[in-house]
Amino acid sequence: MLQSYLPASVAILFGLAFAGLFLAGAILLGPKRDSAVKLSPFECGSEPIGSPRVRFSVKFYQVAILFLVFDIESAFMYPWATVFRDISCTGAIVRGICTAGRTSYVGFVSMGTFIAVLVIALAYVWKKKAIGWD
Amino acid sequence: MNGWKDSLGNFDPNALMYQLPFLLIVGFGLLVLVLEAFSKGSSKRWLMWVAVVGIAAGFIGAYLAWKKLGVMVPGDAQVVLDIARGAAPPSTDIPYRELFDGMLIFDRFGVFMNIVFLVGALLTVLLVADYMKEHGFEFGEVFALILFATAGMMLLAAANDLITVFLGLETMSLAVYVLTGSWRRSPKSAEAAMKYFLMGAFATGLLLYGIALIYGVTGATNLHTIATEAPKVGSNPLFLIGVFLVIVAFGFKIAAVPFHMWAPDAYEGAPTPVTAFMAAGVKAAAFAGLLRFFGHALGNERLVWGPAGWGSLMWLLAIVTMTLGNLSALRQDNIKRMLAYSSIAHAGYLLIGVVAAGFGAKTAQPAVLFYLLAYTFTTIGAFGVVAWLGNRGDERLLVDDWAGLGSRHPAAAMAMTIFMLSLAGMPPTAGFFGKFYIFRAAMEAHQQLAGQTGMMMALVVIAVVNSLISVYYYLRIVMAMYFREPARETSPLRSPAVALALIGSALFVLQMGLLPSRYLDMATQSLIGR
Amino acid sequence: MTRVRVILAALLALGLTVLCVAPALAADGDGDRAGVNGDAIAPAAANGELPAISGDSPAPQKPGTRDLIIFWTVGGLAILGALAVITRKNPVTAVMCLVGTFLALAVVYIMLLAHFLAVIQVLVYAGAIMVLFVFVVMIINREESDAWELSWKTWIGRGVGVAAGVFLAVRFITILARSTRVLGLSDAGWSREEMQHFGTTRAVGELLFTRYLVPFEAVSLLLLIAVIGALVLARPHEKVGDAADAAGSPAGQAKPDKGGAH
Repeated sequence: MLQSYLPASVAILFGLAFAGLFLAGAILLGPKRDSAVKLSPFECGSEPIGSPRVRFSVKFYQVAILFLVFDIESAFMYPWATVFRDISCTGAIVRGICTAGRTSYVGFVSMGTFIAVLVIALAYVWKKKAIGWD
Repeated sequence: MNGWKDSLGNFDPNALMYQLPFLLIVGFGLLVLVLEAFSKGSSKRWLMWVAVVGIAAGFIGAYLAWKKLGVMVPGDAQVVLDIARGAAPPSTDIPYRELFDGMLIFDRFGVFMNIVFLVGALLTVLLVADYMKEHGFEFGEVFALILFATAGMMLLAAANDLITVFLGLETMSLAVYVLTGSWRRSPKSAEAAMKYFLMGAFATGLLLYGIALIYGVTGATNLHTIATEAPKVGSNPLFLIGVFLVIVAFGFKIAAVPFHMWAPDAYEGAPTPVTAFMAAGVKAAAFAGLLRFFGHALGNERLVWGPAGWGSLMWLLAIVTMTLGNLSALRQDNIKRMLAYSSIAHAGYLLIGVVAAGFGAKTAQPAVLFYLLAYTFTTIGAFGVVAWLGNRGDERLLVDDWAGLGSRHPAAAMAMTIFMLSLAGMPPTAGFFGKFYIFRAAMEAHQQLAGQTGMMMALVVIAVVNSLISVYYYLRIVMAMYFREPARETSPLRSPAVALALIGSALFVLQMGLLPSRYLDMATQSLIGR
Repeated sequence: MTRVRVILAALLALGLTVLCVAPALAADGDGDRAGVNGDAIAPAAANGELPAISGDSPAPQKPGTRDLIIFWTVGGLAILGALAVITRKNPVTAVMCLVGTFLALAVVYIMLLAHFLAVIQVLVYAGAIMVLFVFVVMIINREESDAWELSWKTWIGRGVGVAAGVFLAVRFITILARSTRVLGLSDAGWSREEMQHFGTTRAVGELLFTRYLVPFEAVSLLLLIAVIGALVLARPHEKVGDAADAAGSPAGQAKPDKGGAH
């Protein structure tokens, strides 16, 4: 079963190899003639004023945590999708638990409730204007 | 893969009936949130009444669940159906229903705890609206957060599996962290939230680690499967470490003494009604979890720490918590900090009940339940008076600020006196019978041990001495209110909601003190099922 | 400082390489070999005791050398990454080391046949949660030169922490070293089909929507509270500068943040 990771591994290896190749090429082949002017931080051609470290707006944090919450929500949908036919008693594998010919709404309702709660979260966020920037 | 066999293909909607309080509270929480987002106008104070209606609906749901659990007898069609679907048959005396593959258990213990949480939520909601208005940080989500925290407590009280224990604890804690830090202009509130959150997250980590170790050794997260596996693995060091870590994590949540350092700062910095909610609701929920796992499921299990197993660890915890909590409270001039240390000391008294329940004292569980109900009314009432007295920019938290309150506001001073007497455990208040029942349960455990060890006796003696010490600092406030000249003007909150909460809790404290038998009967019927 | 960075970068590169090569290496082993997971404790529950007692169990199945190499490399990387997280002073470096640890752990999950968990580990932990960490680091933006103050209390705290850690580690190692029997999945009495099923997205779904349905629904409530909390605690102040409010004049209010540097 672990063979299925082979294509992904090859792809990642190729990506790494190419990145390493070009980086190494730039380092080894590129000319390096540093001077004080070149090494100074670039700020529109003028002398840098103050520290480059500014505090970011806390809105970034809001965006990040909203992204995280809905990311986790979507992560729960993959396992649901794979078993949806079974828990709705329409799948091939019923293992003797479903009455023949009857459809169960458990699959629909379980994910429906989950999503409904998070839709309320989305509506709340939307009305509070946390999705837009201002 | 076992769960697959008893799939929910024939899901029984009746199962939701037992969950009614939880579902109603969550539903109203969502409603409050939607109304908050979609309503016009800047003041969201009216959402308080939506929350109050939701909590009232929760009480009705609890009543229905109580009735339904009561009438269930073996042979009931529903029970037969459940047994056919894999639930264990109920014993004849304690009805219970184990549902959702053993994730949740519904019994009157859970319903009683739900009532305690609902009382706490109701009083907090009534207090918080005008407090926030006075101090200038109104926001409507507070009601939704209180309801969601209550829902988390209900989940914890019905948990029959370490997974649900964890989720209930987290749902509750996350909402309370936010509430703690919600006074955003106050640096103290931010500090309180930070400390509470860091310590809480640390405790959660320990709890998860403990759960992982217990699962690794017993192969189960279900509390009763763990209890049946425990004799086989009882001396396994990994299991012991796991149980130890779970005790530590709950110790953080109830603020038992080696793990209490966050509590005074968090209690002092949080908005006062939220402090009340933390002191009453969160503590009660953690004790519900402790009673289910240690007082009941592991109750007969003697792990290898000392003569009393896990009980000896909890025994030590109880002594240290009571003593240090009371001694530290003696030195406080800030009333919120004093009440914080007092709440630590009360966690110590409650731990006596858990230890006694572990020794098989039949009266211990009802005693803890009675104590929790009495303590909820008392402590929220006390914090409520504190919240009532403060003004914008001047919270009036020092004992000196309370001088002469008896002549200016006799009703409030009377209410505070009742709460202080109840916290000190003096008749005729609820706190007296709370302590009395706990000590009686401890003596019953002492008799059951039949002279093997004097541990329970020692515990009772230490607790009585501690109660005497505590009288000093509780009465200090009463003395200041009645026997000192007023220092300066007071202009407390003019709020019918706060007045209602204070009068209501004072009356209940008195009634539980004068006529305790009805409440004790109710608590006695609320044993843990299975 | 630069040397440390080079070493860390090299470690990260090594980790990524192992991450890619490990499953591929494991893949050309025979698929039904039982000892894929050398260290699973959970199946011990089948007979309710720790692996310390061998007794009449079936002949021990040794995990292959290749598996051992991968496991120790990845496990070592995870521990090194975790150590780097708590020792680096630069928070961004620490966060990047945490990413390395998470990736290494993902490989460990794959070796335990927890395929779905491995993917979620990469997507949610190494992806989303790390984005959050980086944002928080940027928001707090602690000056690199700010040294942590070290008083004697700190050293006592460190001493206690190290002692507790050492105790726990020694305990674990001695307990695990006593176990003579290497547990494989075959000890749980699983057929090859069941082993292939274990840990897949489908297997997770089967458990999540039957036995763990209540926790699943409760998670939605937890996520909702997280959303409310983020908005309540991080929303802008409505009325700045209320003179009557003596209770607080926080530092954050004095310096209203501009959204992002240019």
